[in-house]
Order: sequence, then structure tokens, then C-alpha cells
Amino acid sequence: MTNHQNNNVTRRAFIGHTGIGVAALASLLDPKLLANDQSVPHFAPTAKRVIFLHQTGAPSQLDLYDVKPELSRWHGQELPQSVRGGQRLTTLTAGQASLPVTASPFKFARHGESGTALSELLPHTSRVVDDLCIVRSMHTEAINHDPACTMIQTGAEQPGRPSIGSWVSYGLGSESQELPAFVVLLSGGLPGDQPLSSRWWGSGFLPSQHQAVKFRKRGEPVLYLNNPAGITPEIRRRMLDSLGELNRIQSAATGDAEIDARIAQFELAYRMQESLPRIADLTEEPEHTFALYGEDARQPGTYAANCLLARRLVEQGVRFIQLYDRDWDHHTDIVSQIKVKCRETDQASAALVQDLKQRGLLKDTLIVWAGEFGRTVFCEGELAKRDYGRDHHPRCFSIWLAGGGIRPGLTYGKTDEFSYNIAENPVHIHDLQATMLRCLGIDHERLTYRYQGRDHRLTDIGGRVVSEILG
Amino acid sequence: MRVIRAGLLLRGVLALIWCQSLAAHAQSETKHWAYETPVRPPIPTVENTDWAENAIDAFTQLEMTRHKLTPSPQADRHTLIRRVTLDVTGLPPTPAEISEFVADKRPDAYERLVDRLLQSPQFGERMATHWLDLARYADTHGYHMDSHRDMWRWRDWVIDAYNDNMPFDQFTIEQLAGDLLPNATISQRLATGFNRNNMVSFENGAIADELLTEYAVDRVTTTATVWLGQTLVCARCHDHKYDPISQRDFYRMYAFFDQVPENGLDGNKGNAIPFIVAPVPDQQKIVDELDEHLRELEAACRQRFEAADSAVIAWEATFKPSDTRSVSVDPELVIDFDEPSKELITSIHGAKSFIDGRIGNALLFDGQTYVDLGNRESLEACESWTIAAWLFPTTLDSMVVVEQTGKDENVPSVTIQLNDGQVFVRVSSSELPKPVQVTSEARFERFRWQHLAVRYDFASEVADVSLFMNGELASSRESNFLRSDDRDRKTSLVIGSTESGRSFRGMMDDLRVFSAALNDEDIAIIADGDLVGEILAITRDRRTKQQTERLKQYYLENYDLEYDRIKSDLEVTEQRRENIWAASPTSMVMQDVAERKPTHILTQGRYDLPGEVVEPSVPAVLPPLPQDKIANRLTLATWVVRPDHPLTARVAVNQLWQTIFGAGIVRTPEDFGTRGERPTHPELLDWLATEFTSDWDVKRMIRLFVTSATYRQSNTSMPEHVEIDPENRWLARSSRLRLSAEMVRDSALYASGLMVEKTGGPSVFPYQPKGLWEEIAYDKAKFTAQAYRQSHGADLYRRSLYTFLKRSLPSPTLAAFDAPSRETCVTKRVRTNTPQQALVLMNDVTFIEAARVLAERTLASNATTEDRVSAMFIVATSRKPSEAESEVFEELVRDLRGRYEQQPSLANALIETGEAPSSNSIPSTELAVWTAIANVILSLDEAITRP
Repeated sequence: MTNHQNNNVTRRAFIGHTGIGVAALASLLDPKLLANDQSVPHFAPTAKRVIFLHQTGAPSQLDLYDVKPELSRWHGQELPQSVRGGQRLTTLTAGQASLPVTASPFKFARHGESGTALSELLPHTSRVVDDLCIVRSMHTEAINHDPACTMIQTGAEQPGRPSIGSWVSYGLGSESQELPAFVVLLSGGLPGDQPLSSRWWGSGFLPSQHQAVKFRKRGEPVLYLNNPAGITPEIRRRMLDSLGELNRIQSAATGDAEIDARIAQFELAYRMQESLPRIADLTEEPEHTFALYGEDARQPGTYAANCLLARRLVEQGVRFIQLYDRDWDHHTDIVSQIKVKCRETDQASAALVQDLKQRGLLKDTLIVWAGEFGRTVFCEGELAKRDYGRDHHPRCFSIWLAGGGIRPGLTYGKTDEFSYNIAENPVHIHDLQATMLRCLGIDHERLTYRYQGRDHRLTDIGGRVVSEILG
Repeated sequence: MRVIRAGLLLRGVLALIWCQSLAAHAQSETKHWAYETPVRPPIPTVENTDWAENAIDAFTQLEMTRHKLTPSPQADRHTLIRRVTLDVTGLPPTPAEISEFVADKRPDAYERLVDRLLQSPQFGERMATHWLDLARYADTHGYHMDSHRDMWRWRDWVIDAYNDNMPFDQFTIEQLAGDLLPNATISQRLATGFNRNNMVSFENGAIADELLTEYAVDRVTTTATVWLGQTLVCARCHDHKYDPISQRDFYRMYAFFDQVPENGLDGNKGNAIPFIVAPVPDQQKIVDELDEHLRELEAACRQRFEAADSAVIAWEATFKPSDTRSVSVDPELVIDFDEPSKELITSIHGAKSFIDGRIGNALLFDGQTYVDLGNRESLEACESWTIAAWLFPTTLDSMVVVEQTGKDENVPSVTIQLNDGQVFVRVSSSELPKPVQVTSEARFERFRWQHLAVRYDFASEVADVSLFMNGELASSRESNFLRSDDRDRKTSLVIGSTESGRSFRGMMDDLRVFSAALNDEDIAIIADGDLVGEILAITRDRRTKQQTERLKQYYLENYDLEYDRIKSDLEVTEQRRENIWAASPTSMVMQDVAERKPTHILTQGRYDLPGEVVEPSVPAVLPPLPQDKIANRLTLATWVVRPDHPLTARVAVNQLWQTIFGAGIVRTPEDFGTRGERPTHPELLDWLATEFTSDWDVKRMIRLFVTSATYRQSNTSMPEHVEIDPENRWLARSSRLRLSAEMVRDSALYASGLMVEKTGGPSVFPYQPKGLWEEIAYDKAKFTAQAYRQSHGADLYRRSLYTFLKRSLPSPTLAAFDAPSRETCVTKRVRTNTPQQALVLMNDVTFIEAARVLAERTLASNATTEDRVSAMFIVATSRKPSEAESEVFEELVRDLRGRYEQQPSLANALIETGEAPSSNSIPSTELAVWTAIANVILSLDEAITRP
């Protein structure tokens, strides 16, 4: 989908019909940007698009990806002071008298040719493990959900910055003439689940056409897509014909190219009305699709259905698809709750990798599976035999990436024996963002936007491309 | 795509390169232009003086000439009235207003129009919208669960300030430091809400200090952006990379804003502290009236009291002892605290403070104080007794009034205490089958004298405890409140408690102990505090002043009907005032802690890395604060509006200019630093700034702008201008601008006649697709603003600045047209042109309903297709359709009529859109046809454009 901004007539009119990104175009127009060499892409891209599977609430690395067989020796004992090193805790556990080490109750086994150890909670992910690159050494500063989600999505803990999808939309535009460059899909949301904020898929200080378009589970797939009752597509077509004619009369009278752009946007809206419901309709998928993604995928709005929808959107050329799945915030009863979450997500996440691979799309589609931080090795509340909780832990957590130029079958980074501190190859959120942009052919230091006198970028003042996980 | 743009593209590039070289030049100057106090330039002399209307035009014409441009002719009257009405009120003109103006042949017709618009209440709403963007005003707290707050009283303050044309210096001082003004009014305190509009978090587990830092950073950043056009935030972690602002400067400014007595985590239940009660005007009017009435009544009481001396003497002469009620039983013990005996003094432990009490003096109990009565009196389990006292509690904490601890088997344990104002009594003894425990239903209040009597009635082996509050039997229930009696303390009777921290806090007076169960009447007499008989027994000249006054009071209260009438009026009036106060909205305000907390430079901007301590001050590059004033927010605010301030007036007029012309003279209104754009018309900016500081009159500035010839130019007549100056920097024409989000919706509501024009009030909940909030919400049961409860009736049709703004999910109708989320200060909105906007105009129920109601209204008073099209077209675009346009409509009407006549069910469905009642008198097919026509008209580019 193409968009227009009218602070420069020529720029607007030009973009309207090329589909190239604003930044790419800006380099032709703005000598200041030209001096910074902003022509995008900066490198040959290895990924054309991204699917970001954000597991909000923060899954426990200790129970899923960061295997610590030795930890059972420590189970129930106080976490040594030397390990914690006086690092801050949330106010949920800061007042707790004891911080007993809590080993994972789940079994880990090695899988695939890479022999990567994964939790028994992830039987499906285990099947595709050779396609994944697991990073066990992620870290962030934020210790609470709101700033941490804002960080992983916008590169800053405080509001006001564009989300990563918006940056990509700004930098690369869309591959599709009829679909937005940036789409967001939501799942989960039981009472008490961590809330979401549209800030995380908003455009911050970038023009608002770069914010995500949200696909919804029921009713119209995107807001205001459906004609009101009593206006059929034929009637709408007829109305738009007249509207276009009238707008063209104005355009001729005023010479304002903005009106031509508006005519084009109405036509695009009409095409979206035709195409979007078809794309959002999963019922036309064959039976074997549901066998792959799981029966949940038949139910719109589930994580599985959203993974399937993400694949369909990728096929249509959507540049950045952001999924949010809620309810990973296991302060209590983690043993039972994480089982539920894995049942809801494991099969579909793995299916997405497998599906894209067999369709030949994985090679140029980057998939990222991540929470906003990790969880503590010590338990929150009492260490009961059956169940307990784990608190927020920003100092290390595990994520995985697949496709789009990421080295498959690799495990990168190491934590200490408590999965408390990073022992080797730390990867900061900004490093992840820089790496994601790199896959898309973008130099994170060169994709900038001037706001309040400063050339802002997604990675703020940080970011290192983790070249070790590329290729 | 037409390729004609290629030429423009090149020229645009060249123009930009030219600008950049100017900017580069600027940076080599010794002192950046914006840090020098503006000097009023002479008005340039230009050749074609016929064109100019005021000074602005001389400045703009000079630049036009420099750029080989000539002014465009004046726009036609339809265009002018549409432009100026939208710019000044945010709404389009009505057809009647248009025809009146078009027909007005007086030479000052336009000026008259402008004056009318500036006086309309819509002016304040229009101007406020931009200010709310700057102030990041919203109806929710923003972070995490994003529950609601009430800041709309502040929003209304802004609207009123614009409508009252409050001078900008006062507007500034009250918002930055109204609370620090001498005898600050509610309105002045309310104004400081500007800097409480920052986001607030209540996220479980968050660290208060970290958030407090962010709140103060937001305040200093926003204040610097709004008034100074400075990107101060760049100096949070290190010295500013481009402007002469050090990190130290940042924290010195920060030091004005980090002194709020607030919580790091707050806002889970509405407003975060500190906030004030801020009655709406109607409520305030009643409160004022009641206050006035209360003053009158109090004066009348006093007057009656002053004048009663002779009446008391006369009454005393006729007085018979039987006229006064007296207690039938003599007390065993009376402690009046008036003239403390040596014995009493020695039995008081802790502070011995006697202060003016209920009658004479009272004893102050500070929580450590208690009176140990030793063996002078003890309460028995198998005998009746009554204990009474006047209490003035100062806390609702649990505290003991009287205690007797029974270690000795013959002495019962007695506890009389207040728990959260409720009276609790427990008597336990080995002689009783089980402890007697009761709790009153009613509660004592803090800071008032109230009487307590506890009657222990032991008859026929049954103990019964009755509680009397203010002389009346109080309903009580058996209590389950259990407490161990095994306390190792002496067995004497104690007023208060020997246990530190448990003792009574407040004042106590006239404690009496009776060794009998007093009857209700006797208790009522004691509670009256009626010691009249005793006073009367003293000869007049030996009575103390207090006794004389007490007697007079007794006389007035019991024998003076007029006094009684005034008194009951007073009570009723006080209660009414209290009720209105309790029902009034609150609003968050600025306030400073009593004692300044040190402000540290934060290393790397981090809350947990405090460095050197700094004192509040302003950036060194700017004029200094006055030496002789304490460096507080009020001094800062006064400094901001000093007439020779290099930034404030320039920044302010630039924003006003942007509001009217669509772009500022400095096109980076948020950045007047070295990285910002240079002013396109530097002399004009300085001339306007000096003009503004002469009286800070906002309406006068707006009037100056819109009456200039520059403003009144056409935007279509000279196409070559677009090629020479694509961004219209040199103002040789007017800019065609897409309406703001609020104006897009408001225009449709206004055109349809649905709009309900009412200034101010709580925010409203117009149409919004179902389930949007719920998709992202937290716990609906626990927190507000998690589920969208749509308004009905009038609140569906209020102006858009009253739409409830939830920061984590703002109105999608408005967001589609670039309305910001108000999480941070926004000085300039972008104007995008997207397919989402087309979808909103095509399908949002707001616009379909507006189309349907516009159609109904039009059909009711117009018979022909031509008239109908014309009537609708003019409300939406402010002009009549051309012949060519009318033809397009005629054809569309014919086509749609055919379709809806063939499928009447479609017509029926279409006209049911929206909650506004539908007129039954119009055939449904006809109404459907015209609803569709109106939808096309309201979707026209022209209908959402300011020409």
C-alpha cells in the first residue's frame, strides 16, 4: 500500500505511484539526507519481510530454552549474593525475605542435527529446531512490562518513538499495492493479562501512515472496511466514480496534487474492500493446513489463526507483521500456566516456520520469537512443591530467529549456571533491532528521521549487528 | 501518473539546497539568532502599497519580491468566509452566514466577520485543541493499564482562557505556577494542571523513583518545548550536541519540576495526588451563593450573641432552677481539666498540654499522654456504672479512650476505644460468663467535639453495655473484635492507654464517672454540656468569661427562637455546601513539597546514578533569573514572560501563525535551536514578537493575521507560484490545507445539524467500533477505562475535542486523520492522505449518520434535485456547485434511485444507520438515495479542506 504526506507536493506525488519507501525517496529530494547517504536499502537484503511473534508478559527462558541441568542441586537454596550482585529487583520481590533457586521441573532433551536442548513443553518447536537460531543471551534494562515492551518495539522505554514496523514501513514501503506495509495481530487477553498499548505499533514521530493496520478477529478485518448496510459494492463503485469525477473537477480548478492523491486513496480503499476479506478468510485453507497449525487455527483471533494469517499476509507482500500473544506473565502458578501457553503456541509457531519453508518463503522472511525480558531463577512467593511463580528478569532471556538470512541450527550466547547473568556474547535489544534491520538491507545507523533537532534512529545510540548469527 | 512532477522535483531539490546553505551559514554566526532578544525592525517600504492591509504584508511582500513572486489576488468571498471561519472557530460557516457575508457591501464587512468569529465561544475550543496537543492532555494515565483520570476541568480552563482572551503572560504564569501566586484561587491552581498532564504509571512491580524521574523529565522537556522552543531533553544524559545547553542546565531546569508531593505509582483510582476539588461553574456558583449565605448567617449569629446580654440578665431573673434540666445522680469523679489540681497533674503522664476545650480547658493527648487515676476510681463487673466525656479525635486510627486492665481477679478489664471512629467497648471479668463486646454502627468524626457516654448496666446477673453518641443512644452490635486480656499492667483506671502509641490522640474534656447506670435523659443532659445550673449558682461577677458566654449560649439555644432559626439554617446550608463539594470533579495540580528535596545531576540520565547536587536555575545561554527572588516555579514563570526574553514571544507567535497559516514562520516550532529551521521571514517574526509582548493579546494577534492581505490571498489563481515555491514558504498565495482530525468530524456533524454545541464538561464517548479497548485492556472489573461504554443522545454529537482520549488506544476516527495519542508534547501535526481516511469517510457510522441526517434536513426544505444538491453542497464546501458538478450529481441521483427502487430492502437498511431518530415522512428509497449523495458530498476533498 502506498501513502502520501503533503508537506512536500513533489515528494507526495512521486511516492504515490512508485511504492518505494519515503526514506528511499527522501534521498533524492533532501540534500541533507543525501549527505547522510540514506538510500535504502543500504545493503543487499537477505529478508524482504518480517514476522515478529511477541510473547508479551515474558516467557520463562528457564523452562523453555535455557537448559540448566545442574540447577537441581541448588533447588530450594538461597540464590548466592555473588550471582545477584546487588542488581535491582522489581517491587514485587524486592521485599521478599528469601530468594530460593527454583530449578525447572520440565525435562530437556536434545533435538535435530544441531542437538539443541529444548524443554519438553516445546515438542513442535523441537521438530524445526534445525531451522532456528536460538539466542540465549538477550538482555534489556527495563524491569517492567510497559517500558520493556516499549523498548523492544520502539528502541526506547519511554513513549514517543516509532515502532520497528513503522521504521521498516518508512524505510522500505510496501511490496503490495493493496495492503499496508505493517500489520498487527492480537491474541490472548484473559482478565488480568498484561495490557497492550497501540504505542507499540504506532508511528511515534513518523508520519502516521507508517503505523500498523490492525487486523481484527471478528466483524470487519480492518476498521471501517465494510460498507454500511444498504450500500453494496456496486453502489459503492458508482458513488466512488462520481466522487472521483467531482474531485477531478476540483483538482483541475486548483492544481492541487493533494486531490489527485486523495482520489487514488479512495480507489485503494475500494480495492482493499475487495481483497482484505478474502485474505483474512482462513476457511478456504485446505485441511492439511489445520493439521499443521492445529485446530485452534480455525478459530479467528487465536495465536494459531494469527500465525496462519501472518503466512497469508506474507504471501501478499506485507512487509512487517507483528503478532502479540498475551498471558506469559507467570508470577504465580508458572508450572501449570506455562503448559497452557505452550499448548496454545508451540505448534503454530513451529508450523509457521515449516509452512514458510515448504513454500520457499522462509529464505527471505525473517521470523523472530521473543518476549520483552526473561524470568527469575528464584521463585516469587513461596516455593511450594506443586507450583510457584517467577518474577521479571531483564538481565538475560532467550529468543529465537529463523529465515531471512539468519544462520539456522545455531545457538548463540550463554548464561551463567543460574541463567541469571550473561556469560558469553550478550545481545542487547538494540543489537537485535540492528540485526533485524540488517537482514532487511538497512544500516540501522543510517535509517534516521529528524525530529526535535535530532536525527533519531530505532537503535537510539546503541546497536551492533550480530553478524555471528547471520548467513 | 502524470509525469509533470519531475520538473517540480528538481526545483524542490534546488530550493531545499538553498535553504540548507542558509542554515549552514546561520550556524557559523557567533550567537545563534534565537538567543538574541528580538529588536523591533522597521516596517519595510514596498512598491505596491495598494495591496497591503497591515504591517505583515510589507514584510511578506518584500520576500515575494526577492523571490520574483507577486501577491495573489484576494480570494472570493465564499472562500474567505470558509477559510477564516474554519481557522478561527474550527467549524465551517453556515449557508446563512455565507450569504450574509457575500451580500455585505460595507467596506469593513470582512473585519466585522472576523470580530464576530473572535467573539464566538467556538474560538476557545478551536485554539484549545492545539494547546492540548502541546500539553499532552488526555483522559487516561497512559502507562500500562491506562485507566482514567479527570483533567477536563483543566481542559475547560484552557478553553475559557482563550475565550476570555486572557493575556498570554498571565496564561503562562498561571499554568506554570498558579499555585504559587499569593492567595491562589481554585482557577489559578487548576491552571497548573498543564504540568500534571504527564503520563502516570501504576504498573505492579515498577520502581517509584524511576517513574518520578520520568515525570519530572516530561515536565521540563514539555515546558522547554512549548514556551522556549528548545530541545532541552537532548541534554538529559550529556551536554546538548548542537545547542549551547549543558547537562547541568538540564538538571537546573529539572529542579523546578521535581518537587511535586506525588507518588511514583499512582492513578489506579482516578486522579493521582496532588489534586484539588474544582467545581464546574454551575457548582461554583451555588458554592459561592452558599458561602455568602453562610457568612450572613454567621454574622447574624454573632450579632444575636453580641446583643443578648440584657436579654440574658432578664431571663436569669425569671429563671427557676426547675427550668433547667439537671442530672439526677451525682458523679463519683469529674475531671474538667479547667484548673488542674496538683493531684491531676501528677497523674498525667507525657505532655501536659491544656488548651481551649469544649468547656474551659481540655487536655491534649498526643498518643503518648495518659492519665493514671490510680486507686481513685475503679469500674466493677457486678455493679452498674456510666462513664462520659467530650472527645475531639484528630485521627481515625485505633486508639484507647479509657482502659482498665484487670490482672486482679476482682477487677474487670475494660477497654473503651475508637476504631476508625467507631466506638468499641469490651468488659471482661471472671465474674462474667463471657466478655461483653459491642461496637457502634455510627462513627465519630475527626476534628469535632463529640460526646461519648458508655453505660454499663448490671442487673439480675446480666451485664448490658449501651453506647451514647452526642447524647443519643447509638445503635451497636455485638462485636467479634478479639483481643487478649493478658496484659501485664497495673489494674488502675487509665484515661487513654499506658501502652505507647495506643493512647487517645486529640482533646478530651469533662470526663465524668458515675457509679450508676444513668437514664437516657441524664446522659442527654450531660451531653448537652449543660452546666447551666452550676454556672447560675455562681454570682454573676465571679463567673469566668467562658462561663458567661456559655450561659449566653445556653440562653440563645434554648430560649431565643430567632437564634434557633438562624442556627438550623446554618446547619442545613453547611450540609448543602458539603454535598456539592463532594459531588464536584477534581483535577490534578502542581504543588511543591514544603521542604525542597535536593536535585542531582543524573549520570547518563539514570535515576539510580545521582551525581552532583544542583539548584534550580535557567540555561546559562539565556538571560539569568532575577537575583533577588527565590528560584521557584513562579520566578521561572515570570522569567519566561519577561518582555526581553529572546524566545518566548517568538515561539508563541510562531505557533499562533502556524495555527492560522498552516505552517510556522519557523517551520520547526519545537526547535528554535541551531538544528531547527531558520525563520522564512526573520524580520516579520521579530516584529510580531515585539508586537505581542506589548500586551500579550492573543485575539489581537489572530485578528492581525487574518485581516492581512497575505492571509486573504487566493490559492488557485497563479499556478506558476506552485512551481516556483512548492511549499509556499514565501506566501504569495494561500495554502490549501486538509482539515485537522477534529475539524473533519466536526464539519460533518455541523453540516448535518447533529452537532450539540456545549462548552466544556466531562469527556464523551461517541461511536467507536466494538471491542477495541477490550482487545488490549487489563482487568475490566478492577480498573476504569478498560471497556468502552458508548454515549447515547447528545454526547454522541459533541465537538471532537471532548472525545474521551485513551492514550493506549485513541479514537480511531480521529487517529486516522493524524490526531496524536497525547503521550508526549506535539507541536505540529502531520497531514497525511491515506486509504484509512477514505474508509472512515466512506463507512464510519459517524459519517453515514451525518449523511443521513443531512439528507433528511435537506429533503424537508428542498423539492428539486438541483436545490437539494445545491443545499447539501454548500453546507459541506461553503459554495454552490458548478454546472458540471451539478450534472455529475443529477446523473448519480438517477442511477441510485433506480438501484434503490429495485431493492427497497437496501434502502431500508441504509437509513437505519446511527442512533439519531429518523424522520418517517420521507420515503425510504428517496432518503437512501440522498443519504448516499450526502456521503459523497461529505467525502469530497473540498469538504475536508480549508481553502
